Amino acid sequence: MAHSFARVDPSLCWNCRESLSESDLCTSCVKIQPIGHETDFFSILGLPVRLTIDLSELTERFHAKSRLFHPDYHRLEDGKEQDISLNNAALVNQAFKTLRDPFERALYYLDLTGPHHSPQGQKTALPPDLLMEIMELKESLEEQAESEGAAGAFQRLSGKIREAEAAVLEKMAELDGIPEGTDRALLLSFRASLGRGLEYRKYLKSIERDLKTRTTPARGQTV
Amino acid sequence: MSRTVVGIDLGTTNSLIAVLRNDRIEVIPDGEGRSLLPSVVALAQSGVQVGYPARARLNDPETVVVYSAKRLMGRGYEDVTGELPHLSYPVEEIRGLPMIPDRFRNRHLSPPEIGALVLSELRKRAELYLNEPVLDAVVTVPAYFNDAQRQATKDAGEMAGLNVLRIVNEPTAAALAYGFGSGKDGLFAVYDLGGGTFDFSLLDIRKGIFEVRATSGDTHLGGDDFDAAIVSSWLSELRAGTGFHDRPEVRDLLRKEAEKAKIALSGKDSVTVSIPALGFTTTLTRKTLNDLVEPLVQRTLEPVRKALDDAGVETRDIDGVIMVGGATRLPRIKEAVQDYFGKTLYDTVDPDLVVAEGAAVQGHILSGQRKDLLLLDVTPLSLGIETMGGVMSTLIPRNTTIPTQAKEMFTTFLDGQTRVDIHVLQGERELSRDNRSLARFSLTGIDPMTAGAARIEVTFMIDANGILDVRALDQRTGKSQGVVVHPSYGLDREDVRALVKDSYVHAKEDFETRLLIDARTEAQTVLNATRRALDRLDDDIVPKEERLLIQNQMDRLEEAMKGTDGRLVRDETTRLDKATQPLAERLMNHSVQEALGGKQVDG
Repeated sequence: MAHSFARVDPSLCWNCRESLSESDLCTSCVKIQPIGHETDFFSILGLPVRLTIDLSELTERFHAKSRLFHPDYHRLEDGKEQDISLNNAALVNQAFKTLRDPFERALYYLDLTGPHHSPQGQKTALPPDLLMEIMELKESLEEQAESEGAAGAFQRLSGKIREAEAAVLEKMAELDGIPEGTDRALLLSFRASLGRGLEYRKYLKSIERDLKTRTTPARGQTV
Repeated sequence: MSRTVVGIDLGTTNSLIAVLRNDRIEVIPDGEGRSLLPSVVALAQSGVQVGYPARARLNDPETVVVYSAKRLMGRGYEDVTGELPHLSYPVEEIRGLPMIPDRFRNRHLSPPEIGALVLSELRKRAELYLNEPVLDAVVTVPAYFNDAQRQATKDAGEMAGLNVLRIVNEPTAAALAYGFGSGKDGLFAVYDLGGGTFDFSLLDIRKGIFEVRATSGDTHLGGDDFDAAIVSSWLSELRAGTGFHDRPEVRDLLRKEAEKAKIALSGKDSVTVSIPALGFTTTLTRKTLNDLVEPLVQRTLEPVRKALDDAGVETRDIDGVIMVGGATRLPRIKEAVQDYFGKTLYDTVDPDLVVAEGAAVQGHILSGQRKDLLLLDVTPLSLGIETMGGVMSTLIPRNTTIPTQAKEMFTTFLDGQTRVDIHVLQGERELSRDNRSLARFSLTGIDPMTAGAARIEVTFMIDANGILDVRALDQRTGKSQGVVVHPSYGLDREDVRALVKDSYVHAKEDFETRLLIDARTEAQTVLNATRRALDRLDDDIVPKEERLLIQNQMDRLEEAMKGTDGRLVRDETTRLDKATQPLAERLMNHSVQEALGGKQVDG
């Protein structure tokens, strides 16, 4: 479901007051334009709001925008333009960083397209049995690390994480494939399922972090 | 017309300045053709000296010789106590900062001020060479430098009258000098062994984007240690003889000879050292030298392993190793690095000059003359704020591409509270006290209201140089909120501003003075030559009107020379040149005709 988020405020150039045919650059005075605060990360990089993204296209867009906005290319211009350049470049970097990682991207997507736009985003609660399973896994990994060394425990956990990530990626593709105008309840159930998958992965990653801090100074873990 | 942006390598031991023009990188030499400038400042009764003359006074008891000030840059006194035993000059604690007392002028100099003296010297060198004022610069820093150290470096530049357009990581600069970024992509190691420090970095270069993946090093390991190893071996030889007294002057003499011998051995297998003053003669072979330095070579490989580990890569993932720093000239070093990585060594650019050359490339990019390359640096350390219980809450994780920003909402927790304090930290540890304190900010002038009602959005912006700026916005009124900054280390913004104002004024004066002196000298030469010619020639070669015209211009020039406007002197000199040009041409023809035995020239 490729949403087309219309550009907010197709206003005038801050410099020459000409109306803008393009949002990044004024075609009449060639000044870069500030990215609006409401602009989402997908639009900043000129991409459709979708869960699946072609990484090489993303990188290409990022490079193009960086070449347009990076402060190094605006060093000798006036203060106002340097300010715009700094803010835009920071936003472009943030957008790239968020969208490059599929899991961060999915979280951002759910938050952006969510029905109730709460400041904290949506909290997805995991069902109790799944939470129980996670707790048990954590304990058994800690025991394993204690008795036979961290390497084996890490290996087992990495396997779990890989599985969880594969499941999330699959759900992301599924959600993208749902045609526009599909039943709202079905759409919401897909979204909730993706949210749970992300939450589950987050728990596994935090176990990994805990395990790491417990077992350092061990060097050269293969994670 | 585009401005000239120079590149500066402000080193621990030596500094350099370079420029890219007409498609060539030029490392700018001093009047005697030397590229390096020792990063040394001598404080004496007679005045302040910088560079070679300062270094020459190292053993002068009447002079305070300041070196390795880069080690103190942007750090608190507590933080540098470990460095002090390595320094032979006094360092005092003032307001928590390490300061160098200048007893001859009854003042204290901060490390950035010492840096500024070195940078001023480089700037003067460049202005003489380029014959134009030099105002804009790119300055390099080690990749591990934190915000305060970068800011201190920038302050030093500004105090030297330079507009520091960009702070660039040294390994990134080295890669730029080798032309990476346009075509050659991959993961490169930068092995930088200088006089006193060793830095190792892993650099990921993709499509013109440079990312520092990991850095490590040893802040007290370098070529000087190699010299020391040779000296101590010679000392044991000397002690075996009779009547030997171990004095500092003797060690100094031996150290100089050791350095010479080490350099000579880069080109040949054996060198004979003879010091008549000590009645000492010995032979140093490359084999002996290798054995002497082997423990040091192995020490460099420890940080190498650590960086590879941090980045989670192995030697086979590395596409090449860039060699930086004078000490990498040692054949044994090249051999050891080659053996360890088994990859191409990039060592064709002079390892002393390569960082400055790369900085010049970046300067050229910033001057707007090049758009194919883009340095996207990353933050070397995570940035966060202290939260309840002394825990650090990370706002911007390390290795985030810069510029970047993070927004955080703050409020009051007491009724009627009008100010909120924020403690900004840099580092990777959980607890605030284990991280480096960057600055304390106060949001001031908050309207008194019930606890929790204030909504102040604070934006932490890290610019392309890795330097933090904080802005606050009152969400209720939409007005920007007062922010007062107390940097934990380094100079107060006000201090810097005052110092910068001083130096800007002087910088301009300095250049104007030099311009005037040069212009006056030139004018005098032209005046003398013209006067001689007019005295010698009669009216049929120089008609009355023309003579009068030239006379007039000579008077005008002499008048200009009495003033202090160097540009006017230069312009009037040019006018005099123009006025005498027809005459000069006629004289030329005249002498040619005479030589050919021809007729009298007309008019």
